[in-house]
Amino acid sequence: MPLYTIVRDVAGLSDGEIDAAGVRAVICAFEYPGLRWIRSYLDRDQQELLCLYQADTVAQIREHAERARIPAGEIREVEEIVPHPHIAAHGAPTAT
Amino acid sequence: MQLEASAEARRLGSPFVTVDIFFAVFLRHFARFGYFTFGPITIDVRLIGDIVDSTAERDGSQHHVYSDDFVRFSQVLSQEVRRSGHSRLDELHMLLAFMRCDEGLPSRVFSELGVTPAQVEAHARAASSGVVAPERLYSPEEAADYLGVHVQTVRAWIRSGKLRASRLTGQRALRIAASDLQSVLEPVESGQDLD
Repeated sequence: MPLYTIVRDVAGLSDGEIDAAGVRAVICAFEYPGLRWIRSYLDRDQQELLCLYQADTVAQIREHAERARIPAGEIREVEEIVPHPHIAAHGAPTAT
Repeated sequence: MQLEASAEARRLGSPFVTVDIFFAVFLRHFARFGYFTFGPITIDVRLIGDIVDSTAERDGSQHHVYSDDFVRFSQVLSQEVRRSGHSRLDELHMLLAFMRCDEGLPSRVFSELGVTPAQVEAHARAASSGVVAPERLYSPEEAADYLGVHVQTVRAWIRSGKLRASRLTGQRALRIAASDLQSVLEPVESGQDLD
């Protein structure tokens, strides 16, 4: 299933309104079997949310956002890369 | 339930999923025997459905968005989730959010019922600790109306022992518990003759 990042402009929205948008996103996502909200990161400086979604298509993400009344700016298809197990297990090298 | 709200908006030909539509679908989803019952709350689900049917905005649309009042409702709902300290949205959050919603059908219904969120929360706490309020009781006429049979059929079932009932102390009046109405229902197996 393709992974996408979505930039959402949340300028002018309070934390409560951002929370509420999240509630609508969850409720509306039930209408799209292929769509899953994985997680989001809030950039307070840029007043943007960076969301990671699984979805069938970009069009599906745009339709979901339109129906749920949540902003959707740039959408990019991405691939997941996780830290190498060796690095994750031992952490960053330390100075001796 | 969310899917049902969408389907309901589509059925109504409404351009919006409104708070009223979501409320009607919520009640129907959790209703038993035509009534939504939770502690001090009892709501006739068919009546709510009829009101939504007659008041919903229609334009024949098959593509609907969440309405302005739903956007406001989602804020009440998210506050409710936050207030509860739970991260998972559940039906109690929705019920309390409907009760705290100050517009639309939920506002009218709960102001007429005169039930407060505090009472519902107290019931929820009692229910989770095993102390549950008594369930709704039906008269034979109400039971017959719900099941779609003649009242004499209900009385015959009671006489034969097929349907459990009780008398009000010192009176002839019969009452049937909601859960006992299930005893006269049996699922239809596939391949069974339906005539």
